[in-house]
Amino acid sequence: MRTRRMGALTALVTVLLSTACGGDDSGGTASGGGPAKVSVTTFGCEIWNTWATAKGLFAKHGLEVEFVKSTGGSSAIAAVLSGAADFGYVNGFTAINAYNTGFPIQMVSGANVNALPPAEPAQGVFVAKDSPIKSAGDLAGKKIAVNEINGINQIATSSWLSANGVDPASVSFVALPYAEQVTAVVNGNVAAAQMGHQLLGARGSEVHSIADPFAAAGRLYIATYVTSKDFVAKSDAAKKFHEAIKETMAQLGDPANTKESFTLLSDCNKVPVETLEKQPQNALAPDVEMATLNDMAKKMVDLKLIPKQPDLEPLVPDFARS
Amino acid sequence: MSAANGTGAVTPPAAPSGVSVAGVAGRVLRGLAWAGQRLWLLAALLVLWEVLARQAGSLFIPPFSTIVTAFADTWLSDRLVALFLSDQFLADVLPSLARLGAGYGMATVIGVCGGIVLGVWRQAGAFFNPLIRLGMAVPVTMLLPVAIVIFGITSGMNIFLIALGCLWPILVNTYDGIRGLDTTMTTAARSLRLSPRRHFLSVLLPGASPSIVAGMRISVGIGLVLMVISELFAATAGLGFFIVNQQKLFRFPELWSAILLVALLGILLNGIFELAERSVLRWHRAAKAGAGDRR
Repeated sequence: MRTRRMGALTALVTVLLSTACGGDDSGGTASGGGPAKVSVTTFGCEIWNTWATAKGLFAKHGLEVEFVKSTGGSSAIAAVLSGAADFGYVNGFTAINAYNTGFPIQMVSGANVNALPPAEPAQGVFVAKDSPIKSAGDLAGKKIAVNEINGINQIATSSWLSANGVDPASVSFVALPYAEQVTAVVNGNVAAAQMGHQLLGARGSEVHSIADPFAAAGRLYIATYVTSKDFVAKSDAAKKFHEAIKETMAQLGDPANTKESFTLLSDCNKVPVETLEKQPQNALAPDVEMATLNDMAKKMVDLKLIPKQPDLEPLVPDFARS
Repeated sequence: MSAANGTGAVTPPAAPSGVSVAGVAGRVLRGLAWAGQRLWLLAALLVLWEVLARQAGSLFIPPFSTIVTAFADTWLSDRLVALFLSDQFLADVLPSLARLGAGYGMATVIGVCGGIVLGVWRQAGAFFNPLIRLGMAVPVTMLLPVAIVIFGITSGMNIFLIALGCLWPILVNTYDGIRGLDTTMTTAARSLRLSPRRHFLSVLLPGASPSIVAGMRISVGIGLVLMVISELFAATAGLGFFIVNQQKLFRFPELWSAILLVALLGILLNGIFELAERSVLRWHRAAKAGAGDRR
């Protein structure tokens, strides 16, 4: 009886392991004939997605898009490789890291790059209004909140600290959700928080930025889309997706569409249009520039996040390049 | 080939007296048979994992041998002075264990003292009962954001969560142990007119100790889970912090090695607890065995 029970348990575990390990890593649900159904990970409300959906631009390019919420870049990569999503919304550093580790992904579209001077800074290192911290040098030995450990915000802040003579290893980075960062700064739990101006929320007036670390870091892909290599190989849905994003961003770049795009975004994220209009925005960049990606990889090498400069050529298919 | 003790656990067979080659060989064979009997399922599953992971080639679930290699590289070293532990172990595991020890220790002191007071003082027990039930019903992990506000991003936050999570099983088990004391025992103690101190040390505490120890044992597992969970969020060091970090860096063999380490720590802590329990509650086992013989 005991042996039979053990046997049944072993069989059950075998099935579970087979399911877990033997999953289709290629991802993708696109098929020929009619619009190809694709799923895209999202953090919530991206302005290009709200615009493309409202204007039927995905459908125009033969795609039926379903948005799937993800909590971060690494979970988006996992979703893409497990087949839970076709396109993962990730920052450039995460994409390079995953690719360098050996994950079979390709970057099929750019989305956002940081706003560089003379544009108004969209990002900041925020400290409390009455904080004695005035510069990078004052942050040595202190705690800085970022949304995820080893994410783009930490890398950009580390580069900024290095550029200002502060060893990033002397700083403790703490992962906190954006919604809790300002409170943590005001309560003194962390000395500073690195986040976008548009994420400050209701207590934004209690903090101020001492610098935009992204301005010092050069051009960075804050957001890109990746998919599995198999998905790119087996259909043209990835190319269509890039073209849809490219057309969307071209329309968003037209000042005549600004008001309407903010109205659509406001319907999604419930932030008043007037507030959205005042917030500095990151730049839109649907095409992937290899020089920028290589610079980002070099930063990762400098910060010892990856051992050596990877060959990024296979990461970006020709149709996605600038 | 094997013998079962009073708890139903299988123990290795007793060694025969006298030393001879045949005797030693027999002992080794019996030991292997005993280990095989207990570990065959685990071994089979690990072999299955190895085979399936190699076939699937998934980077998220590496073969078990890769995890073992990562384990050795990450957590062990060749330095005797560091007890063959790596710098990574000292940087991330020791802070975690210190938090677990502090939180568990606090929970034990408060839980046992509180449980005894509530168990002896009936009115207080009835008064605090709803509060205790409410506390037990709230998942401790939900209090993480509140703990950060109260304690800041310090080890105090982790210790608080571990202590709170471990407190309830110890408190309730102590209370139940006191309240559920054998009435014959308490009546006999009353008729002997024992002093309060003697009554506490000779009747209450020993009588409730099996229940107290059971609560403490449950809390070891809870403490271990909370140790890792509380470090997944707003931490700057620790095993949970290490796991999140490896996930973000796509270093899955190292991530799995940390999970393996947590599992081994759990087994080790349980083993230590079992030994301590056997020693402390030897009288209880003897009493149970005696009662069984009489039946």
